[in-house]
Amino acid sequence: MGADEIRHPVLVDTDALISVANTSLWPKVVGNLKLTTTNVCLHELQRHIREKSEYARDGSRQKWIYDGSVKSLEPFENNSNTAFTTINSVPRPHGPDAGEQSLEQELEQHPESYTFVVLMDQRGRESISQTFEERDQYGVAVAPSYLLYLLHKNGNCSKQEFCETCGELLEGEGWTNYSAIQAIWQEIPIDCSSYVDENLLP
Amino acid sequence: MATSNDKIQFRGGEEKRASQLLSEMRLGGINISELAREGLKEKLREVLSNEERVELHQQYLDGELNEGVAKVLIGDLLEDIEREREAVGKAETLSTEGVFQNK
Repeated sequence: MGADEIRHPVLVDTDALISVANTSLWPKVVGNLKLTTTNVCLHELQRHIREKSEYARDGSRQKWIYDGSVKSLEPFENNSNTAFTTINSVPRPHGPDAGEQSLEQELEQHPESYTFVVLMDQRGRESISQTFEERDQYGVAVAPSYLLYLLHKNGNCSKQEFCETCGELLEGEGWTNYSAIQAIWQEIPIDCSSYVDENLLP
Repeated sequence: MATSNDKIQFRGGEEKRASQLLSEMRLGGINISELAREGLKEKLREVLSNEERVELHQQYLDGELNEGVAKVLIGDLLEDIEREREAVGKAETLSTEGVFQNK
């Protein structure tokens, strides 16, 4: 397990890790960002690897989850990599939303440690943003695409790479984060129209 | 303003009798038109696939989709984007200290 109890300002959940790990920018995420997750999320990744198959059909959801879980785990399981850390959740949440709950609990216990909490689920983000407002104004819940934007902002990837990888995210997640990606494109604003393949938009 | 062109008609014998029955049970009745409008909007959103929602939003961005119609079909998506924009706007005001390995 990665170095315990080092809290980086970016806290990430299971599904957000899987979605970003499945993009071509994942190696740059591993090489440039510092991320923290919980042991509950790591166990969810390990469970996916046990329950989903390496041999699932290419392009299937199973294979996508399997591959993303394998890639996500690597930097967190590397003991010498202090840029990717894991916090033990006490008490340990259970159930289907345990990963997301573990982030919420961690934020409630250490609100001052975190600036960005990255979650795939939009309702989860609303709930985290609420917690930020109640406990510590300094922070916000963002979608996985924001991690890619951070890389771009820090000069770790070109605008073209950022835009194309947003396209990969959209495709991989079945458009789940369309609103979040639109929001970045509109709010920053970044004009990705010349980079995102027309075919990517239906 | 409502015109005769705004009328939607469809067959539904049982549904009509069911609505009338409920309307008779309640003092003041029920507003069947209002229920039908809300119900239809809800169902239209429900049957849209993610791809269709994205396609409609692209048409909306290109000015090819009337705002009222867009609100009926993808009003929830437009609200989601607004909320996400607020989050991104806030994120942009925050420090990235400790976020990057090279700093």
